Amino acid sequence: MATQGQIESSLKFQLQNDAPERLAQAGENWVQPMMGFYYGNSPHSEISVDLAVRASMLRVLQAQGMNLPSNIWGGLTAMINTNTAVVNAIQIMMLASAHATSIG
Amino acid sequence: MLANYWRIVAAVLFALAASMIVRAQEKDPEAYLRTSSSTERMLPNGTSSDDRFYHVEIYMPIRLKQDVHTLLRRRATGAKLGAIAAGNEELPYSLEVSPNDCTLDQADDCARTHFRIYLPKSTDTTKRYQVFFDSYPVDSGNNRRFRAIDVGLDYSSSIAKGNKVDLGGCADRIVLILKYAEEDREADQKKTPLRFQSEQDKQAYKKYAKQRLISTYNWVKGLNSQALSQTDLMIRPLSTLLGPAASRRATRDPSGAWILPDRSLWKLGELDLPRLRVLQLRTAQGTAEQSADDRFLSACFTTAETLPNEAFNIKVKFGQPDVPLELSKSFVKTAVEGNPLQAAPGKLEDSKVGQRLIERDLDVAVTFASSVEDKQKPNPAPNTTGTITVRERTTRATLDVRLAPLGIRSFFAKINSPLVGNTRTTGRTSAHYFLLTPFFIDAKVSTGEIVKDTLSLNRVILGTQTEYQYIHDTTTFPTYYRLLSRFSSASDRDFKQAEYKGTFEFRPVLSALNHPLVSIQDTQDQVIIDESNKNTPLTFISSQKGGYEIVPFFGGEIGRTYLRRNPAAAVKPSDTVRRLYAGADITLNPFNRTTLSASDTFYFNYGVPQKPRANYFVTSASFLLIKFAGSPQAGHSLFISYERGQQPPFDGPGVNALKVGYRIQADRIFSPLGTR
Repeated sequence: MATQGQIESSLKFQLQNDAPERLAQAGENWVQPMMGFYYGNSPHSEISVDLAVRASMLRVLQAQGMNLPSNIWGGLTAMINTNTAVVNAIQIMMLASAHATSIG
Repeated sequence: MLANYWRIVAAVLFALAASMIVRAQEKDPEAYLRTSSSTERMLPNGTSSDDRFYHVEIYMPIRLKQDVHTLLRRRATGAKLGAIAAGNEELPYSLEVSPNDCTLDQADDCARTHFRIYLPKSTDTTKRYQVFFDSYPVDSGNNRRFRAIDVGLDYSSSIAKGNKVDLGGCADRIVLILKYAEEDREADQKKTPLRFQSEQDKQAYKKYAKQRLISTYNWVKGLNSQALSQTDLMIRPLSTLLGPAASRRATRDPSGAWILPDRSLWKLGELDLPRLRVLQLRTAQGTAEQSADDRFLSACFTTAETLPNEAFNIKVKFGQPDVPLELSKSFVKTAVEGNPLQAAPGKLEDSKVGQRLIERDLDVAVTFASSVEDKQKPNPAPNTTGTITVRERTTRATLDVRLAPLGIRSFFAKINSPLVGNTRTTGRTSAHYFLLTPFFIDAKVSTGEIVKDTLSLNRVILGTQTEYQYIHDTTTFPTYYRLLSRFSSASDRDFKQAEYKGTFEFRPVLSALNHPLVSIQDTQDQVIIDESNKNTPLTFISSQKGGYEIVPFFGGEIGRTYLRRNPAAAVKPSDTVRRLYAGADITLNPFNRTTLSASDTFYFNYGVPQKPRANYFVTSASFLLIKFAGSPQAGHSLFISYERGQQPPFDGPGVNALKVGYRIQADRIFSPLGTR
């Protein structure tokens, strides 16, 4: 299971790459806004959020040689959308990481 | 010797345990801020004193030594047990024996556990107070040292949105709620507060609570328009960037910053927040007695201005000089749900049945269309033959449905992201993304006969759609490329002629050309913050800078007619469908809820060699209404559109119509969890 710190750093890294201006705007409150603050609220933004969550999660899991079952990936991206606060997204990702299984 | 040692240890342990048991049984003292009754405010000379307007009623868990108590009753010097403090400052109000201290005890005429500190009318009741006992001599001859006790309240008072508290007639309004604790509530004696321990205390509290509710009820009922105008009800919409109030006389510098007359930079404060004028504060309980019996009072605010459609923070302060204790604080409620707009308003795609994208589970629109055209009519003049040209208006209703009853499934393949897999350590995240709509219905049918000049295409398309997206990046305004393929069966409204066709379409969505309004955001101070639940001081706002989307598209269709059964006269039989097309969709959002869109498509039609080229143009303006039926997944809008030109299968003179309509859009109501 990943720690909150690992998830936080990975997601922040993702946001730094994807939406550096928004991250600077939010400053130390970066975990408070919804994901839509960073990725917009258009229909395609949901896809961007899904992708950002997957990439952030993969980054943490691959460092540990782990991966998630496909149904957990589905649940994870269904639970995090543009209306999810970043702080809640981090919690959801942390809980999802408890289902990680070793690769190979 | 050793035996004695163990006896001593055992005795000490026993004493400690006994002491701990006694301590554990002792509850903490309790103190409550209350309003004194008119009798309690009376001085010995019979005049009412504002010095005794409020009092703190104190309940102790253990009896005070009789002689100290006697001294205290006489208000004699040298009997000071404790004091009241606001923060670190001790206040000059003395502790007295409470008039409610007397019980039926035969030995003492008073319980020796109730005290009171009177406070003047000028006391700031919004502050937090503490009572502490320095030394508390008890009958056993020991002294107790009690820690500081917070002065609590017998009631809770708050504001909420009427929709959340289920009070009749208060939906979409702010409700004031006052609730007094119920003395018979706790069945477990151990949990019963000291103030409800004895029957006498219960009765005293009951009398007090009823009297306060009646008094507060009557105060609320007695507010006239002048008194109501002294209520300050301020709103902080959480999705709107606010500017300085006019009274600030701020000016804007070239960088866009607001500068105050003293040259300082303007910062959003309470003064700048929009106010709602209170017209009425209507109690939900019919009578003061009913409110007192229920230990509950609620009242709806009626305001001249409506509450925001977006989430907001609210602060209410009763500024009337005689406001009751229960309503004297500032009422703050944060993140109150407004009537938010549908998150993805979507532009109006009012044309090209069978080519429109299926991006939502449900998209239903009803339009009323009216057009004017020249028609050949028999000459009505007597004794004449032939026809005359008459300019005639036709009005029809049209139902426009796009439905994906099996939802839309999606999955990612190969995510390339910094530090993921074998890819880069910095830069963008990209991916291949697939969507499948197993079954969709795309139909636009209108009333009236299917004639050549019908106002609707009267087409019903059933089919399946797949989409591949190459997502170039996941930035706020991303670039991605859409490749759609669709296999569908198209028929007329009456299913008399049907054709199958395959469609391929490419849509590059480029970051530089796509800045949707809903994605443009900013930050600003919240100003109104709930002190008990401090979180972010910032709100994150979709700004009103205006958004735009420009999406070019290129596509082709190929197909064949497979059913022909007495088709309507206007449905031209055709064996093959072969055409290429190209065009662009342009959407502008000059304001938050207004969408202007235009779409132009150029066709090269191989199926009609006598007229291979055609053009179709549609423009529309839509105004988004508040969310539909309270659902966060659905929105509705009013729109007006104008279309001109020709559409497949190009067998008519083209369309030239103005339409006014109403549209409902919903998303993710059929898609299973986790598929999108």
